[in-house]
Amino acid sequence: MASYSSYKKINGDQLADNSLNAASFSTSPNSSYGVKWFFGTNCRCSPGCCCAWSAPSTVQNMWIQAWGAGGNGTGACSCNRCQHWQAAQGGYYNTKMIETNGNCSYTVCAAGVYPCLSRECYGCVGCSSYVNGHNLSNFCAIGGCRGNANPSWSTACASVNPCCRAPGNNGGDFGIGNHSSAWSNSRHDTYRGWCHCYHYGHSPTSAPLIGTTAYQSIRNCWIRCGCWIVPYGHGGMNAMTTYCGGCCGQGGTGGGGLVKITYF
Amino acid sequence: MASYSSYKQIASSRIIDGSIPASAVSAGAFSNWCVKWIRGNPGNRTEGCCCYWQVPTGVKRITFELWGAGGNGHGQCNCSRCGNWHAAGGGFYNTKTIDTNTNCGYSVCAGGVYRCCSRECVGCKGCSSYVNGHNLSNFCAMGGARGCYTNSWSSTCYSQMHDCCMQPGAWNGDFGMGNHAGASYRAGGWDCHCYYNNDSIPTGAPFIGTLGVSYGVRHCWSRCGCWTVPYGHGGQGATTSYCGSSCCGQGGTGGSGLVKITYV
Repeated sequence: MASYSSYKKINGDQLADNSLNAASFSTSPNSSYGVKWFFGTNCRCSPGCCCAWSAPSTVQNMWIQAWGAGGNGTGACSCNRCQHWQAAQGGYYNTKMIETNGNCSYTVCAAGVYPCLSRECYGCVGCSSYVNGHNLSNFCAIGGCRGNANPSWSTACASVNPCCRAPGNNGGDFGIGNHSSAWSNSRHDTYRGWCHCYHYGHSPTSAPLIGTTAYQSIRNCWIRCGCWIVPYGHGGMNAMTTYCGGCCGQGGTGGGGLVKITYF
Repeated sequence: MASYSSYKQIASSRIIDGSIPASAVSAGAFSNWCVKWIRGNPGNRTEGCCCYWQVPTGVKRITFELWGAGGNGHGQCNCSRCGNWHAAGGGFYNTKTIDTNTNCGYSVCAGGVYRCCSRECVGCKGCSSYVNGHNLSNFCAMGGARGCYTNSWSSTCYSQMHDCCMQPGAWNGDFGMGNHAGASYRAGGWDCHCYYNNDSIPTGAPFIGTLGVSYGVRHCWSRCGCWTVPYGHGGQGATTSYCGSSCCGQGGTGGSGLVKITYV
């Protein structure tokens, strides 16, 4: 049975067309718009950042963008033969647009990296960034591939796509990765073999849409470690040597992951 | 005491939920969403662009994104000894989302570059982009690192954060980051120097994605930097593959800074 208060109510279809404008409202529905970034410290061995986050009370839609952490660089590992180097890959990108409700809670994790500065012939894979919560399922952006070093003279000298993620993988609307770098080529030295030793260069790759750059090269050098810090999502730098017998150089870690949430 | 007009007013509790049709809302009542770009001339020696910008009526929220100008490239400065080249860096990125009010005014400046094409061993840093106004304080994005020529045989040949490793939250933004500035890449001759000075790579600004700008020479008396590079990108340096050459090459300037304003 209708109550007194229900009799008092006005049906919106009684409002004349165009009778409401922005001034009719106490706050603009647009004022719920915002952008929130999640990130770890921008340093080597970044632990990333994980936390719970609640959508503001009036928010209805969220656009989530995530970048995985970059892979770690390799060490200058070999002591008895010239090496060549494959630099680490940048983190992957994944994105999803979802509907949400005010005060829904989400677990958000901007990936860190394995806190190891490798002396081995390989680094560590970058960690995944992810978001869990209402209207999301297994949504993540995976980390970049690790750097490698080996004495093989027949390894391909082209950059490759080491893990081909199709858009829609990992619970997103669209995702993409970058190539990992080519194995370093060099100017040959007939005393030392082909595709090895002096004139090395390598370039770890960036995460998609961030577009950063890092690289290292040496002409004649006993040992050079990777740079401590690379930009967010970027692959870490390798340690390198142009000589046999130098085996103590440490690779750098990749850049930490990122999560960006645009909400409305 | 309640007035007659207050008795006439309708509280939101008296409107049936979900009953107001779209036709009752006048066109444009909440169509404030827009993107505004502030940028300098894309040409050589850009002066950037500074202006006063006023918030349009009805706007409640703004996201500012800033990119500093790229650093200028080095000149071909050394006449007595082979050198190597550290390429200029791209500008830093910084972003902040704030509440605002109709007709608030903001001083907006997209950074320019020092208007010199250096013949010296170092170029000039890029200038900062910034925005001042309501709910902002010392908010800016720094310019990129300058290019540098050196004949030191022990200079590092890896890219790095030359001037500053910017932490997110620095310069009063919500999130910011920088890119590495460049280094020599696979230079030849001796100890990272002289002939085969191929490939030095000035870097771009984060989230613009200009990759692939580079410069180098095999056998060349003098080669100046290109006049223009993309927005926020580090400028090209001047190079030579000989000692004692004409010593007159000029570096190019960096790309102009940018400011992107998204408002609703």
